[in-house]
Amino acid sequence: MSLAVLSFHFRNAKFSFREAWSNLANGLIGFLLFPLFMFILANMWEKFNGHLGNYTYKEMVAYIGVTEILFITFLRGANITGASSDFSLSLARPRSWLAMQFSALYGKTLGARLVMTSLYFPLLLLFGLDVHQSSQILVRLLILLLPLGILQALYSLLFSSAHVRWEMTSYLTLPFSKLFLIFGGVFAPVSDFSEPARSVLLQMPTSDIFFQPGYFAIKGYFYQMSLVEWSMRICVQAALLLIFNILFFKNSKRYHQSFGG
Amino acid sequence: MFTLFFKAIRYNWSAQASNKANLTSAIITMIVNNILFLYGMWLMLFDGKEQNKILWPYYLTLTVLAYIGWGAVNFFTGGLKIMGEIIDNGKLEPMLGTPRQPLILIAISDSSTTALGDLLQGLVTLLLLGWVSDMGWVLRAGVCSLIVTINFATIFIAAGTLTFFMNRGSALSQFLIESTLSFTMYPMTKILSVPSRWLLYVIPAALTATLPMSWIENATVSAFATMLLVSAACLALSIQFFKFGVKSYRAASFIGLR
Repeated sequence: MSLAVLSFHFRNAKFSFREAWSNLANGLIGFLLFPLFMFILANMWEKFNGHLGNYTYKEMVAYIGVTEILFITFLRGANITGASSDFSLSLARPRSWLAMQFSALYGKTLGARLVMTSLYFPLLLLFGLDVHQSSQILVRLLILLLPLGILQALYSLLFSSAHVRWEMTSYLTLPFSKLFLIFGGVFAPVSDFSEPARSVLLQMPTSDIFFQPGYFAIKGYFYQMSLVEWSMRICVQAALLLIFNILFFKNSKRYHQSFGG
Repeated sequence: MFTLFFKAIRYNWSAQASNKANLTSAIITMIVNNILFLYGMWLMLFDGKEQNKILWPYYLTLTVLAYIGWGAVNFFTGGLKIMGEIIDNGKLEPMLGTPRQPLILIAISDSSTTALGDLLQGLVTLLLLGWVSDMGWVLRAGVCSLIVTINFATIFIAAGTLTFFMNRGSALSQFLIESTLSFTMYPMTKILSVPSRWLLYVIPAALTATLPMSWIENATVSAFATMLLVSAACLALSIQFFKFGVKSYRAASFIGLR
């Protein structure tokens, strides 16, 4: 890949990143649920799982905040259909559709997540966390946003490619994202689940991209695994997603029918 | 009015049924989605936690109210949910030019296929409630499902009407509608302490969860009367709010091909 191509995709990602910040008021209305979820889910955890004593209430508020930032921006329908909408046109362009959409989705994800993160810090203070603890959580989250954005973009792209080939796969987005919501530990840490569910879920890719980053943000280390081990798991997941993406894209390119729309 | 309503339901259904693959996949994926959610919540809150199991019938009933209420409103009167978009995109104008009630025309203008999955799931879960609770509880849950359906419609009308008065009313309306659904499915009165329960009226899950659950749990005449009175008053207020909104509506001069 030449420098010119890399520069193009970097600018493409930057453009999409800025798009998320262009209509801040509209975006923030969509995120009004965010503090409500932090408050209600943390209270729900305290009522149902607080007796386990694995986390404090403040830690749980921070954890829910991190997982919500990651989940609300995960597999967004508009991004998935938007990426697949100009598939026919892209075949005539001298750029790879896959690479172009990946850079755009990565930029959009990072932009949306940073918009929410800008809300997150003052919310942590509002919920009673001190400045030092809040800053530490924020820095850890910001470090993880870069690699996690890659996985989000690859998952979304997988659905975009599938949508071009089989339109009805758009219905699968919701149950698929629900798998991540429920089994990834978005509502409550996987470590609080009872056995054998806990051991099984900890081995799933769902917990690698929601529970483990949330746990890392509040504790400073991953749950029952090292940084190297988590990084390896993320790399394997990204590699597999890339292979599936290429296969889906080739299939879509071969069987896609355009009626000149 | 009723003839028009039933004709609209029939035509909306026949449009959806014409693409059987699409209809089937929409219904099945929504049911799978709901089952996954229910199973996940069971794992997270109740599995292996004996002290929490007392709340299982309460939680299951909340899901019944949410699935039936949300599913019925979106399947039969799906246009109410997208009222904000209809107003924002200027699609209300052709409706105002007819001798029919614009609110009815908005309501029947759309029908969500996936909502049928929610409705079916809700009805099946209502039948299954009998295993974890008594017959009185199930009957009250059935009656409340009908009232919650009307209450969801009330919230959709009030939220959608905001678009008449605000620039970003459509986004705010979606926010209110989605937050109501999300918070109907959490056992809020069991989670929140008494001083924090004011939040339910802001969301406003009180109409779709708190008041109906109060009657289902306590089975008192006063709880039933409160639920009925508040639901009727809110419905009347939201219709009046819509009528007031229509009067102050300024057309965007939308001309569309029909």
